[in-house]
Parts: sequence; C-alpha cells; structure tokens
Amino acid sequence: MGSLLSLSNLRENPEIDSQLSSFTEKTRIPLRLISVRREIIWESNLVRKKSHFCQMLRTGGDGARKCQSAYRKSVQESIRWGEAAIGKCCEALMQITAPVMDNGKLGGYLVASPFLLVDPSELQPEELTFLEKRPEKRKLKMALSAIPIVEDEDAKQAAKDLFRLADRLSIPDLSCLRMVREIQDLQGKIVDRISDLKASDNDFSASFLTKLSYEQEKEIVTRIRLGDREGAEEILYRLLAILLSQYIENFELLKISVLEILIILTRAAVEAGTKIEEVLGMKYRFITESAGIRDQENLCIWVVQVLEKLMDGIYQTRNVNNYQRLKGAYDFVEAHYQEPLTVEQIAREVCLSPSRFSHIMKSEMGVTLGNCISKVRIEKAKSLLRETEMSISQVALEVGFPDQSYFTKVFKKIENRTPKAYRENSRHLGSALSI
Amino acid sequence: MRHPQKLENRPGKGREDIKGIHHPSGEPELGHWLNGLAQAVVMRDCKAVRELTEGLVLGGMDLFKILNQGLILGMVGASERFRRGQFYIPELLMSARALKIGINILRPLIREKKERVPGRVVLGTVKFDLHDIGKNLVNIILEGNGYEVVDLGVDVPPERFIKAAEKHEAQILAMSSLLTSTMGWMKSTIELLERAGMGRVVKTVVGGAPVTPIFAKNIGADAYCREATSVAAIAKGLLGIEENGQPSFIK
Repeated sequence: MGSLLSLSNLRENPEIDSQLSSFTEKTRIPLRLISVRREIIWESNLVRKKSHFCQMLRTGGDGARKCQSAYRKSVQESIRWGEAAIGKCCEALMQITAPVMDNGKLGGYLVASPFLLVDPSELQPEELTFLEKRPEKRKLKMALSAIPIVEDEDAKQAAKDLFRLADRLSIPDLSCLRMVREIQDLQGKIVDRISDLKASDNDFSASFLTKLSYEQEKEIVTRIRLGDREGAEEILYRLLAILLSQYIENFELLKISVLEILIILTRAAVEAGTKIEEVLGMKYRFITESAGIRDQENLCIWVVQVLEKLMDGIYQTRNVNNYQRLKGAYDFVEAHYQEPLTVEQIAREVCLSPSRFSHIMKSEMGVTLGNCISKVRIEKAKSLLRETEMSISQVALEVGFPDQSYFTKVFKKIENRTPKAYRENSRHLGSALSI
Repeated sequence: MRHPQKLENRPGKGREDIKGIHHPSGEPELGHWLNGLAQAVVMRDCKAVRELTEGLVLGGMDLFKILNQGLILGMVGASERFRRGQFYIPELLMSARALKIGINILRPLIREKKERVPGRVVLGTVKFDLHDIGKNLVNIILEGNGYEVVDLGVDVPPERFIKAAEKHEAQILAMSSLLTSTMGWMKSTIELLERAGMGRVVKTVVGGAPVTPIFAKNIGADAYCREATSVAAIAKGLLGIEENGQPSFIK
C-alpha cells in the first residue's frame, strides 16, 4: 500500500463510510477526514448544511488560515495526550480532532466541527463581539442557529467515539498513542498528589519530605504484604510526587531515588512470600532495564509497571483468599479506628472465626491484630498532632483510645517518644523554616 | 466549594429576587448571594453569574470580595472537579466562560476605583503548555490590584518573555506551567533573562500545579506563588512595597 493511497482508498470503502456516517448521525456534528496535505478525503453530508457559518467566516479576512491552524494545533495536542482533543475552533464554536496514522506517520485527521456547547441565544454579548465587526453579521447570526448544540456529556462521548474511529482508520492502529495516554495519565496523577502536598500546608523542607517518604515507604510495604494492589499503587504515586517535587530538574538524583524505591518494593515482595530467587531474578532484570531510561516520564511509568509485576508475582504464590480477607480487615480498621474494635467484630466482617482470623493475620502479616489497630490509630493521631490544635487527651479520644495515659503509652512504644514531644518537634520544624 | 448546594436552592435565581437588588437586606443575604455566585460558576450558569454579580455590585459589596470569594472560588471549585475527574474539558470551558462574564462586569469598575501601582507584569504560560485558567486568574488578580499586566497568553517561548519584558520595561515576569513536561521552560526562561543581563531588573515568579517551592528555588526564581490568590502579596513583596500578608517565598 502506498502511503497516502491507503488513506484515499477509504473513500471507496463502504464499511468505513458507514462508520464515519454513523458518527455524524449519532452526534449531529459534521465530520471530515482531512489529509495532511489538506485534501478533504471524506466528509459527512451534513457538512455543507451545518457549516455554512464557517464557510461565511472563512471567505473574509484570514478565516480559512485560522481554521487550518486551529485544526493543526488541536491534532498536535491529541497526539501529545493520546486522546481526541476537544477545544474551541473559533470563538464560541467547538471542535474535536483525532489523528489518523498512515503507515506509521501522520496521514491526516478527523475533525468533528463545528458544534456549540450552549444554545446560541444564550451566548453572551461579549462572546459575539467577533460577529459585530463583520458587515454580514445578521446573516452570520442566522447561520449560527444551524450549528448543532451538544451537551457536555455527549461531547465527552463524541470525543471517545472519534478516537475509536481514528484508531480503526489508522495503519497501524493507535496503540502507540495508548502508551502515550498511560504515561500522561500517570503524570496527571502525580501532579494531583503534588497539589495535595501543596494544599496540606507543609513547608517543603528537606526534613519534612524525608520524614514523609519514610512514612510512605513503611506504608507501601504494608500494602504490598497485604496484597493490596490499588493501595500500593496509590502510595507509589505519592512517593513519586514527593520525589518529583524535589528533583524534577535533576534526572540523575531522581533515578537514584526511584531505584531506592525499587529496592523497597522488591524487599516487600520477598516479605510477602515471593521466592527470594525469583525476586532477585526480577530485580536484576529491572535494574538492567532501568539503564535504558532517559527521561522522567518513562522512569515513572516504569516503576509503576515494576510494582504491577511484583504484585502479579505475589498473587501467584500466595493464597489470594487470605489476602482479600486481610485487606478487608485492614480497610475496616481504617474506616472504624475511632470506635472500640474487637477481634470478634473484625473477624465477623471478613467471615472468619476469631481464632482463624488471628492465625492468618499472624502468619501472613507477622503482626497481631492489636498491633495493626494501634498503628493505624497512631498514624491518625500523628496527623492530628501536626495539623490541629486539639489537646492530647482530645486526640486520644478522637482516634479511639479510651484515655490519654493508655494513648501515650502506646504512642511511646511505636514512635519512641511522647505525643507531646512529637508535636513540639513538628511545630519547631515548621516554624523554624517558615521565617 | 467541595460540597456545593444544589443550584435550585440558590438565591436570586428568579427575576423577582433580582428585582430586590436595590433593597439588599443586609450582609447575610449578600453572603448568601456570594455563595450562589461561586455555585453558578461551577454550574456554568452564565445568566445567574451575570445577575448575581450585578446584584452584588449594586448591593455595595466590596468588588474584591465578589471577585475572590465568588467568581474565583467558583472557578477553583470547577478546576478541582476537573482534577478529580468529575468535570471534563467541555464543563471546564463552560465554567471559564461563566467566570469571564462576571469578570467583564467587575473589571471596568475595579479599574475605575483602584489606584495604579507602579508595577508592570509580563505574564504567560510557558512553551508547549496550553493551560490558561490559573494564569488568567493571576492576570485578573494583578489587574484588580492596580498592576499593569501584559498577558502573552499560552505556549510562550523564552525569547518572547524576554522581548516583552524588555519592550514593556516590566519589573516582574510571571510564568505558569501545569505540566511536568513543560516546567523546564521556566528554567530556560530565567537563564535567558540572566544572559540578557536583565536578571537584576526583572524579578521572576513561578506557579502552577506541579511547581513547588523547591523547584522554584532550584531554578533561581525570585518567588514562588502557591495559588493564584496570593500573587498580589507576592508581587508587592518583590517590588518592595509593604504588605501585611507573608508571600509564600521570596528569595
């Protein structure tokens, strides 16, 4: 197949024709397939009728050039994000674009436009100023009323449909863009966790971040041992957020820090029961792979995939039922830590007898239920001590301890210092650095 | 704004309510309207935004209060929903549109009232980054505080920042980035500014979701702006004008 020929052939392909037509039938948005050479390869019957407005705009001034450049920019965005791009094409008018690959190169693009997200009668005067300048404004306003109005939700669906269409038309398909999408999704998640860090009113001091990553590292080990895939992933995103907030412009430091996380992950996998030889083999492969990674985005997605593989290994070696029960119990404790909790109550929650439950807990996790509950409560207490002005006795009651002295005893056992000392220390750290 | 009440319960939706604007019955009711305004931005209800903004202005509420606790709070709410995946691009664009309606009402009034501040700011979103909501908020807040703002828009390469700063004799260069992949352009811009010998004259401030104070320090920015609403205090700090509020960080 010749490069552009294959794309042009679509014109005669009845199956493709019906797929493209059904998009417009469903969404009422005019659709065009345009080659990179700006030839129109296919267009829906609606185009001429519905885009009269655009044609009028294009005839005057630099309208046509603006349209083309809006398409091109939009297609670039959709390649960059690995999904269809929704955006404004001209003032209040909207467009959706998706790239079509032709023998691995950009051969053209699908453009669904124009449409409006609101009824033209609801357009505000300031949104119509671009019309006021034109001599034929009355005619233009008439033409505007022919443009389809698409609800938010439908526009979202149309974007998904358009990308699927582009995927079908592309040679080869758009799986390369799906990888892009995954990388970008992950970056988005990490940026969200950075935003959370910023919102939590901390000072971004090195000592604070070190402490935070230490806490999260402990937590991720617990999650991996529990076989809690989602929980472990969430903690990994947070760890990556902590690293990126410090080292984003220093790739070497970032990579070393990520490799440190790798070590923690593999160690946790061993603790979770994967055979040590197996984990060592994986670790060797991972480290070899990591040598080829040269940018931040690929480094982050790589370590997330490492976690996935390790979790797969854990699922293969261990009794999945026990994991699900332990995770259920852990989630229950997380949700009800403020209440007085008993083994009976939690065992009932996961449909086991108290003695069987205690046995599984001890053998799979290496800790007793009491220890586990205390740890959850103390973690909650720590954040209250750091972030609120609640008195220590209030904190004790808030996190489910019957009195302050018992709370202090448990706190000291786990944290090696009293709640008061912990609070003073974190305050001191905070104020010393905010000056 | 995370748990907004239903729009139907919002005061001032019907025409009758709006007619009562000329007789505002004290602070509590105006406060109620202010919540409604933020709500209307989230709900993308342009008509309500227009009516409530006008109503609050007529009711004599402080223009900045309307801006910050009504319109901007609403937009922050919408962005938050976008971040959490509850809003998609169309919804976000429609909220931005509603915001703009309100801003257009307030802008001339604020300009009229506010004394000019001897500061000129060149503002933009860095190269390859097309996000402009945060940057637009910064623009509005700076203008509202009497600064002259030269907004270069989105996808601004370092050279354009420097040229604009030179041409307009700006004291402050403000950059926004919403992507981990574009933050590096802030560094390039600051480096170019230094090379052009303007590093001492033009102060730089950076902000955006992935930008942290550590990053800002590492790239040699003069200030870090945690959220759009604190930019006025930071600008004052950079210009050496007295200000009660502590800016997030100034070198």
